[in-house]
Amino acid sequence: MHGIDTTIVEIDPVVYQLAREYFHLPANHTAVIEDAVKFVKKATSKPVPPKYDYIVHDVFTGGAEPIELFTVEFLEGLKSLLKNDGVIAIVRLPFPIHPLHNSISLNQTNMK
Amino acid sequence: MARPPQRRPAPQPPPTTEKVRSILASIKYDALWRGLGLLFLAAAYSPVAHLTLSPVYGSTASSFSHRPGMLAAGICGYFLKDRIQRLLGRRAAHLIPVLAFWIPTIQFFLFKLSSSLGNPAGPVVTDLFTYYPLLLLSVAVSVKIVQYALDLRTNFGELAEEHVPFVGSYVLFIIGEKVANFFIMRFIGTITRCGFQLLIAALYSVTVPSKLLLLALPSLLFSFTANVHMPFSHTTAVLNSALQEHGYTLLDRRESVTGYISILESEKQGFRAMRCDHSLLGGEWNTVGRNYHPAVKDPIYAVFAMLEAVRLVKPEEGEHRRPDEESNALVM
Repeated sequence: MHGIDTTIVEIDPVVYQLAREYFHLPANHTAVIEDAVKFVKKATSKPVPPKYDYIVHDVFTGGAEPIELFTVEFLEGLKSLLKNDGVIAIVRLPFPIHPLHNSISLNQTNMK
Repeated sequence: MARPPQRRPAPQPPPTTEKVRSILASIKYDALWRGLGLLFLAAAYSPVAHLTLSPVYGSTASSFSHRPGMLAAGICGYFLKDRIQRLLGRRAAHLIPVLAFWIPTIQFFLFKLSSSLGNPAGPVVTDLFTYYPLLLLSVAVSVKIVQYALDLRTNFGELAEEHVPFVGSYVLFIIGEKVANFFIMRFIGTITRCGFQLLIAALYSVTVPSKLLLLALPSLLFSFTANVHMPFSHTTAVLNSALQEHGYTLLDRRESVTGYISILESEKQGFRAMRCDHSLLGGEWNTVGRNYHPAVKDPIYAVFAMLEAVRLVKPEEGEHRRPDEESNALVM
């Protein structure tokens, strides 16, 4: 979008295919059909890991948040893929009493 | 001097291999495979039953009751096995494939009540009339057949007769479920949810064939002509005419690893959306004001526009951000 070179990580090949067929998905993107956990693990273990200006973390399965995409390890992985002045956006459901909430807020603070 | 009494040779116990051989010879293998097959098919139906519920009630919501319900149905099947045999005799086994063929049709009618049943009652009620009875019958019949095939009472005693099938069927069920789930996830898309339902029903019929299968014909006929959950062009047309009454058009539907993916369009309200099971993944507005020409289509979820605002964050030192053309992003 907006001319930014974008890498899309999507676990479901059909979702990606239909997004291209039925919606205005901009052309300048690289699609990686893979589990985000695997993608981040692979990317961070490269000799020269890719660095991004922006990371958008917006993941849901069955209307819920998959726990493995909110672990300290995963979020630390994302941090190492972010440029020094990069920005990350994390989408979360507003569940303030959820035990995860505290740990996530902590991580967001750490990432600054 | 008295000579020590001569030892008499102890009676030779029958060699263990002999015993094993005689037990192996006494096993009725035909019946054993049939019994294990019934249990395996019931286990394989577990992920399929969950998959059929998820487009209607959501994957997470329908998984809550699935496992406890399954355990209850399995245990009931085990303890009611003798009663079921007395009541139905051989017909108990023959009814299983018939029920399996009727499940898609029963679900079709129960799904019509989904708005009033809602969560968490919907998945429980649907399973209560479909998968749980199938599992209960399968466990009851399978355990009886395995007990007969192995002749556990004669070979190992009464204790083994009661406990070996109980523990054994539980372990086999868990393994069967895992194996089936692995295959289902590999082939989903090529084979649909309904396809798996009919496939398992067909395998049940091969395992315990009977004339009672004729009773499955009305359901099969209904499935192929009017069940809108079946992915045929004429059933999709029926679905579309029903949706059009509500102002929606179904543009496409496919089944995939994360769920049932559908593309819907509302001409009246002017948007197109992609759904995964019961949830909305996103979409875009097609109809916009006359003097409004956005650079990119407006998303139906405002949060997506908010996410793009990452571009507007200023670096701390007050420097300017790199221009968009020189930036890169990772979206997951």
